[in-house]
Amino acid sequence: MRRIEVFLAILLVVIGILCLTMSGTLMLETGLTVFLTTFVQVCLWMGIPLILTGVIYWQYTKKRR
Amino acid sequence: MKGNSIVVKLGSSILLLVLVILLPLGFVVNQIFSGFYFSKVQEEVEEASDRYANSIDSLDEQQLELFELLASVTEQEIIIVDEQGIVVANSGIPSLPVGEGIRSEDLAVMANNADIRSEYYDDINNRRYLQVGKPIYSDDEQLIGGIFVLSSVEDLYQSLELVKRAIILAGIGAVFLAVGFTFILSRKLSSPLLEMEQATRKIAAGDLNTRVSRSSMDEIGTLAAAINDLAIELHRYRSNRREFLANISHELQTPITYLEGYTSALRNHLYETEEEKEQYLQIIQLEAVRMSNLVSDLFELSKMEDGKIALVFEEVDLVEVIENALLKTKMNAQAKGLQLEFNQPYDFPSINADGLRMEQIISNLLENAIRYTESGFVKVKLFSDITTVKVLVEDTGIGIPQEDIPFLFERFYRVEKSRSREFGGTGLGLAIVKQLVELQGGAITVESQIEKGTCFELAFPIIRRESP
Repeated sequence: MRRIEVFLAILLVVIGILCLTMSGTLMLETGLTVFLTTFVQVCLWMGIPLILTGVIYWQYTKKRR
Repeated sequence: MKGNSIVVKLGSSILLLVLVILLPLGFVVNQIFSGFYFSKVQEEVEEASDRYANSIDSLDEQQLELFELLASVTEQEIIIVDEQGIVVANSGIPSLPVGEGIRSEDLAVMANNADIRSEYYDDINNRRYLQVGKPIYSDDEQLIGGIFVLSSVEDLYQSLELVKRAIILAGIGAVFLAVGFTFILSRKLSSPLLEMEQATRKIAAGDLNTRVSRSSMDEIGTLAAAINDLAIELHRYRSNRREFLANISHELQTPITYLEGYTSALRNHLYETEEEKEQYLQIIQLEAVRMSNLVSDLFELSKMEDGKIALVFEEVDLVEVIENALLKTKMNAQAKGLQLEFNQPYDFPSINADGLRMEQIISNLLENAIRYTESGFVKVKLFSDITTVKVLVEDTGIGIPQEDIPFLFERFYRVEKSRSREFGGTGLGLAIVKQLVELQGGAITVESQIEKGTCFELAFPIIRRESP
C-alpha cells in the first residue's frame, strides 16, 4: 500500500469513529470529557473483535509451528 | 485505481453488504424505540380513561369542574361530551371548545359502546395527542356521553426524531468504518494477485527466472507456488528443447560427415586396393544404419510421447520374454567374455502387457549392461509379491555417478560427456524404455555405484484372476 492509501484508509476509519462518537453523545450532556470518553469506548468496542481475532490467529500460527 | 479492479469490486460488495444490513437494522431499531414509548403512553392513557369513565355517572356541573381540575394536576387533558357529541368540559384542547361537536364517526363508535383509540392533531396549538375515548353510562346503564383522555406525544416525537438522527449518524459512521477497513483488506488481498500478474507477464515475455514470493499457505500461496512451478517447468522445457536440437544436429552431423567423406573418396578413387574400397563401403553402410536407427528411435519416441503408439495388451509370461531377450544378446556377451545369468523361477505370475515391447525393454537394458561392462556378469532376476512383479537387470559394469541418475531417462542424455561416443548407441534407448514401461502401467528405477555396477528395476502389476 502506498502512503497516500494508508492515510486515506486511516482517515476513513477516524471519520467513522467520530460519527459513531457524535451519535453516542447526541443525547448526553455536551462537553469534551464526555465526547472523549465515548470516543475511547467506541474504540474499545471496535478493538474487541480485532484483538480476539489477533489472539486466535496467533494461537493458530503457534500451534502450526 | 481502475474502475473494474478487485479493490473497487470488493469494496463495493462489502459496502453494499453493510448497507443491506444497516438500513433494515436502523429501521427496526427505530420501530422498537417508537413502539416502546408509544405503548407506554397508550397504556397510561388507557388506564386513566378507564378509571375516569368508571368514576363519572352524570354530567352535572360539579363533576365536570372536578374533572377539569383533575386534568390540570396531571399531564393529560380531559374532554367530556354529552350523548349528542357536544363538548361539555375541556381541560385545555384549543380546537375543541365547550359547545363544539366531535367528529361524527367518533360519536358513531361511541354509540356502539366501543372505545376510541386514535391520534388527534390540534391545528390551533399544532400539537399531536394520543387519545382514548370511552362511553359514560348512568347508574341505570344508559349512555349519557363520553370521556376523552388525551396525552401530548409532541415531546415523544421530538425524542424519537433525535433517536432517528443518532441512528442515521451511527449508520454513516459504520459505513465510513466499513469503507476504511474494506479498503485496507482489499488492498492486502489484491497486492499478491497484482504481483503474480506482473510475474506471469514477465514469464510470458521470456524472463523465466522470475519467481513470485509465497507469503501465505492459503489459496493465494498455492497459486504463487503453481506459477513458480510453471516458470521452472517452462525453463526446463526451453533448456530441453535447446539441448535436444543441439544433440540431434550433432548426432546427425557425425554420420553425414562420414557418408560425405567416404562417398567423396570412392567417387574420386582415393583408395589403393579393392579391400580398402570394401572397407569404405562397409563404413558407409554402418553409418547409414546408425542414422536410420537414430531416426526410427526418434520417430518411435515421438509417437510414444504423443500417445500414438498402439500397444497390444495380452497375458505375458515374463520368463519367456527374458529368455528370448537373453538369446538375442548372448552373442554380444560372449564376445566380451561376460557371463549371462538368469534365475528362472517356477510358476511365475503373468502380467498384462505387450509381449514384443516387453522384449524390447529387456533387450535394451541387457544391451546397455553388456555395453558398459568389461568383466564380470550380467544378471537378470525375477521376483514377485502379492501385487507386483519385479525384474532386476544387474551388471558389474562401470556404474553411473549419482548426479547423473535423475537425468538418465532423458533424451540424448549420456553419462560419458565426450562427443566421441566410445560406447555407441543413439542416446535414446533409456528414454524409449521408460516411455514403454510407463505406457504399460509399470515403473522403472535405477541404483548404481561407480566401478561396482548398476541395477535397473522394473515393476509391473500382476493380473488378478477372478476366482470361479
